[in-house]
Amino acid sequence: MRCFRPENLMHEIKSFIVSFLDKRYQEPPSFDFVNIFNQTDRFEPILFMVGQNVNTFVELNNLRYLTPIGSSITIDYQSLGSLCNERIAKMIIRAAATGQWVLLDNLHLATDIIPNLHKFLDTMIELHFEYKKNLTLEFKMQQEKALLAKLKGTG
Amino acid sequence: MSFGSTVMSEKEYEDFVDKKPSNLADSEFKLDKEEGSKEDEENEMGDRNEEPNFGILNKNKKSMDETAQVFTKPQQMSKTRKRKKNDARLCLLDLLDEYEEVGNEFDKKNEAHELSPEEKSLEELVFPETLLFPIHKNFRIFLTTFPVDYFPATFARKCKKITLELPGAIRLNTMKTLNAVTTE
Repeated sequence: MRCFRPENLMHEIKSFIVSFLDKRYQEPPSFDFVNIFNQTDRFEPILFMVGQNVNTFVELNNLRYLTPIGSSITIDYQSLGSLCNERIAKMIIRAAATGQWVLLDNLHLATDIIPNLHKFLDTMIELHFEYKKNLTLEFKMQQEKALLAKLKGTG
Repeated sequence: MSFGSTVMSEKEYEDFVDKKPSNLADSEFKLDKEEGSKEDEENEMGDRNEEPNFGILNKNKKSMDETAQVFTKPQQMSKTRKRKKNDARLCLLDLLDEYEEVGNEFDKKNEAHELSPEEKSLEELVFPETLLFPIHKNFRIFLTTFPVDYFPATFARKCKKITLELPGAIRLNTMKTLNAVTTE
């Protein structure tokens, strides 16, 4: 009969992995924020699940200087938990227009606004694509008009 | 729309998010409208005046056609906007400021027109006219939350999730600091 002591189990598993495979399989990979950021896009919110004593604003500020676009970026910060819906909406609209970042802190303290925020972002994305579609249609119509004028000229 | 209830089942949540706001459902873009007859435009303006004003951008009874003109006829804009080299986004921000100022003055004169908290919901601030611009490619929205049970899963599914936690051991903490140091 073989017994495992739970307090030693983790340590033994780690040494087994190191001896059997390699040391690098045991060490957690370093946190590459820039690489993660490169996988994001403007249509998808980025949700940080933070632990105690983590200052997200400092982390974002560091990230800002590591990215090539960092010099032109400002971070609009808003800590949630009070009635500031109007301010949030304006902040998001402005940031979306000028290409800034918005950081809404402590979302767990204001879960009331999450459904509205979700809807707001969805609507914004929908309007973005509608705008693009209209722009394309306008461009096509202009092209067609130009083509017709050209044909009339030649005919 | 009020923010009264905090507890919302997942189905209710999805129904709420999928439902289009009324102002969006009735909206037509100005680019399409320009080709319509003048009568239609007059009728629309009439309807708009009859409707109760709400939201920061619509409450001043100023025609929102000007917003559309920013994108369609930039050469007709005022001097301040011309100074900014007809950049559509900057023009729009100017307009937002103007609407805000006019709205504030209007509120001072007429206290009865002050918006109730219910009217100031995020939903009503979404006007198709104000969003006649594409979302900038550098735009990002970051949200932070503690890992709590009551966070809506539907919204979490929509987001990219990153866990930020301080490393437990001194060695890992030092490694993190060293990784953050750049060659500069």
